[in-house]
Amino acid sequence: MSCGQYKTSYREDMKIFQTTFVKFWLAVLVISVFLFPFMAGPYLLYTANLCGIAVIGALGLNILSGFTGQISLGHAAFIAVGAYASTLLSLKLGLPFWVSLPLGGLISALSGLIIAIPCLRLRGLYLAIATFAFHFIVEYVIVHWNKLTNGTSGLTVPSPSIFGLALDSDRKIYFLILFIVIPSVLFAKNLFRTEAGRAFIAIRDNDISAEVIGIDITKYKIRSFMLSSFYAGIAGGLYAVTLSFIGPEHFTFLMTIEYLAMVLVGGVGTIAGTVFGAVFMTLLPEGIRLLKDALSHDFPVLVTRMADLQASCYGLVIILFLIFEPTGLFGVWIRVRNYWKGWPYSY
Amino acid sequence: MDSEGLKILFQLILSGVIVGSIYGLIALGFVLIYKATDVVNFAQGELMMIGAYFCYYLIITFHVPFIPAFLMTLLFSALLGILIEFLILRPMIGKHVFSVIMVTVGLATLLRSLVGLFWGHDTYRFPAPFSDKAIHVLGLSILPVELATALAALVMFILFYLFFKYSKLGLAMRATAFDQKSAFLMGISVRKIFSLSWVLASVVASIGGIFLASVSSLQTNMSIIGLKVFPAVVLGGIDSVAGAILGGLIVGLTENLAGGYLSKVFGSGVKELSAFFILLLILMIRPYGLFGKKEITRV
Amino acid sequence: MKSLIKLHVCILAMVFVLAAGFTYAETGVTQDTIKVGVISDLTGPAAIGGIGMADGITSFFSELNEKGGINGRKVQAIVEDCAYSPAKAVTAAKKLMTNDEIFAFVSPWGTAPTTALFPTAEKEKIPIAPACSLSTSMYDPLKKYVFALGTNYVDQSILIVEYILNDLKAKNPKIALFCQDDDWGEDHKKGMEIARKKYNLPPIAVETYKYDAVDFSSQVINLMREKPDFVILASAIKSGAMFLKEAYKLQWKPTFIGSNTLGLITTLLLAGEPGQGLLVLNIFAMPDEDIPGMKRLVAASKKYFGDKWMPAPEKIHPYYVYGWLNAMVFAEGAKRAGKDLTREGLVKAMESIQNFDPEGIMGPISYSPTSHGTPGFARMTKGDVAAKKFIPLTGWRAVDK
Repeated sequence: MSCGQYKTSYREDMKIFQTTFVKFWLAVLVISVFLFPFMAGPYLLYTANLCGIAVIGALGLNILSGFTGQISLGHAAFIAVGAYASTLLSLKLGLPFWVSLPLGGLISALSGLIIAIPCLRLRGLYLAIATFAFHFIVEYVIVHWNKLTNGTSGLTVPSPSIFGLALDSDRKIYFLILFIVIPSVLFAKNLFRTEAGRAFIAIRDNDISAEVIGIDITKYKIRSFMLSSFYAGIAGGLYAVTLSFIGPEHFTFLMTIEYLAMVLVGGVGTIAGTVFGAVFMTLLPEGIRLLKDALSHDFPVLVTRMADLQASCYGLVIILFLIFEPTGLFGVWIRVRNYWKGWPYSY
Repeated sequence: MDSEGLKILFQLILSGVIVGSIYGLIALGFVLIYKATDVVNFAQGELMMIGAYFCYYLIITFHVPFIPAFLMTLLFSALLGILIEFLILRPMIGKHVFSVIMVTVGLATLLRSLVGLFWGHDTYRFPAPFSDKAIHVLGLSILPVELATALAALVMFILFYLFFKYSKLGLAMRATAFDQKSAFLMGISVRKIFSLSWVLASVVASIGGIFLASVSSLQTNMSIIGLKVFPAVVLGGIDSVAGAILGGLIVGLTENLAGGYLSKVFGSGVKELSAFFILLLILMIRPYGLFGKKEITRV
Repeated sequence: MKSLIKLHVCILAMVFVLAAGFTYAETGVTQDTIKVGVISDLTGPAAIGGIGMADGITSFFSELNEKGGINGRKVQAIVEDCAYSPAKAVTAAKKLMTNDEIFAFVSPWGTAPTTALFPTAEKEKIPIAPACSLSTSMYDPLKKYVFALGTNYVDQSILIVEYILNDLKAKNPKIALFCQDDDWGEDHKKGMEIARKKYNLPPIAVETYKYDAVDFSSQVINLMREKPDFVILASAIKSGAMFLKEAYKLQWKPTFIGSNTLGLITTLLLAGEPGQGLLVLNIFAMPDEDIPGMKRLVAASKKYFGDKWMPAPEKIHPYYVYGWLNAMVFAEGAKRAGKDLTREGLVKAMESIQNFDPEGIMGPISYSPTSHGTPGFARMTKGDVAAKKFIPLTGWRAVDK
């Protein structure tokens, strides 16, 4: 039990993971995450994959909205761009997966650039609605550019393979996603120790002051948009191979709302919070579903009524969470952690 | 343009005005809440839906005639507004605006599924006392219910415009929106103002809902229109009553004219898309919408 | 000692054999139950249909179970919501496969969610028997484990055109189409093109709408300009009814013919006077018809759901009937597969179904190893607003080959 951290050099002070406590539990987490796929069935694996994709997407949104303060309602559109771009590159140009995925991310980043430019002057709700407009435009293009995207019929995603190893099972995809999630999270966490990251935060807190002290907000806003949509694009590409099939109905405004909920419920402006939020929001509907099963097992005729109850549960949980836990899951985690840190003298 | 073409043009414009009136009524609800509390209410579409369903319930189950049912619905919406503000929004005062918006999203899901639970997801015909016979004037046609909708929007617009400009309460609301702390110091009960704005928004939403259901139909899906109206709200300026109605009209007109003349080239999706294009265009020239107040941030 | 060991070995061997006999090799099938998964839209944009379909299925199986089930096994239907999202449909499917260990999918709702299930069905070799979708993409190209029921949208368009030419005796009719801007609409456009080429008709004017739109006046005006004699409404009820009202308002009176999606009394109720005399191509029988199959459906609905779907003619809509029929076809296939029920066996059994009469509720159903869709049977009906009914005008007919 420690009551403080004693550092003897600047280097120690700047480390990302500072205490042994943190490092130990991180190692435990990493090991269990690696062992998980060998113990879990396809349903859990698939859900875990969705969690992983959600983490990447949510990180992107948090960078843009949570850290840079640019409220974006177009996140699903960026994810869609990434999904379609990487799928089309594989389908039409025959590019291997390990090329088409990052390229898909880059194309998504480019679209982030395109949307960022008209949004530079906008703030708050006006910005949000402009991004919302982008969502509609992307949806329209996907549906009507039939020759390229196959319109509403959607695209079958070719099975990915990396250097000859075919990724055709949920477990292999799990590891693929894992190996992308870990660097994504680390990169994001490190980002906010760098100059760019601090510039983002400055823009969020007060962009006029930031400009006054010499931060080029145009440059950093654009970068934030591009980075955020790159993350979203990667998430989209991974989503495409996990589902093996994409269509315009997959990327609805509801998806954007789910990502916003992840960021908020997890804790705005914290990386760990984003991870918590993404996992929580992906698992919540499944948890409610299992509850429904327990209740309606013997009464199949009641199931259809239960569905509305499920949906209202979902809405209620979000509301209650936001009212009673404004710092989100991250806040809860901090409180729990601090309790145990000070144990048995915590109060 | 020949007379046939002219007639088509004017009919499109007329339809645009009618649809625009519905959009305007819903947009007005958004503005009322935003004006006083700085909150974007994602549940506005659902408030509209509940009002319409409640009115339907009174008329069909209790056989209440239309006008009393209408008035009782307004009362119900007012109470609902107070309840929502007290239970859900008040605890969120001072929290990050992002969180508050998310709460309204959660509220929207909750309301929609509650309505589904009680009334199911069927489509119902709304029992409004308007005849099916169209009125034909100058070669143009309009249904009585459509005329009523446009008139209602006009009346609301005038009422609220005058309210905010001249009445004491209206001024108090504007003051609260401008600077909560100063308003509070001047003796305005900020709490009451918040409640009032939700009451007004809920009532306006119900009126919009009843008219929408009369023109179209009653179904849980109708709350989606709440999202469609966002461009109209932002176009006009999110804190302007005139902007809300005008924004609604512009969106309605754009949709219809684009649908009438551009859909051959671009497919029918151009209707919704054109509204967004106009939105982006206007935002690039006037970043606060047509009538929105320019936010002066001091550092 | 030796004999004791022998005895033990024999007993063990017997136990193993018996155990193997009890625990069936096939997932989802036990001595007395068959578990099936139903994925439907219960809370999303198509919830009316989705809830109806799910209730139709559960009522059929409940009634079937009371009569003894299939080959001595009761059917347990586990219903999941996908809110019309393909991603959620796959999640629901995975959960049904692993947690609930279902034997097959019965009637997953909607083209998009069902299409998302195809890769899983192929890989895990789980039958979708049958799907609840009228899109030709369900069985064209052929997928071993996927079956579909009902007259598809392409055939519906062709049938409507043939009715116009043969029954209404129209010469060189100008036809317009109003449909949704997704693959459902594309199917109708495709059907119209095929019919146009086949019968050498003038070009078809097309207007589409977005599913969440509330205003269709520009589409009505656009089609009015083309001056067609017939307008085919391949749309949802809300849009169809509003189209009719708008046309009536503008005093435009072509002959309107609706596809099967308008075959609900709600269409007539919503449209009111403008809906009088609306022709609709129906692919199922009406709930108020005096057909044994329909009577059984209505009785079961009353028994298990009380007043939820009453009065039947108004409330029981085609998707409820569709669910009922899908369950019926699954039951028939499972019955034919015999007591030794396996997934492969089910597929073969379904392919052996020939001219199966679903108690008069729709045309005869046939599958084969090369065709997993049913031949398109439909009939034209006429709407009577005051009587709140659709009156059949023709018998069941199929596309002229």
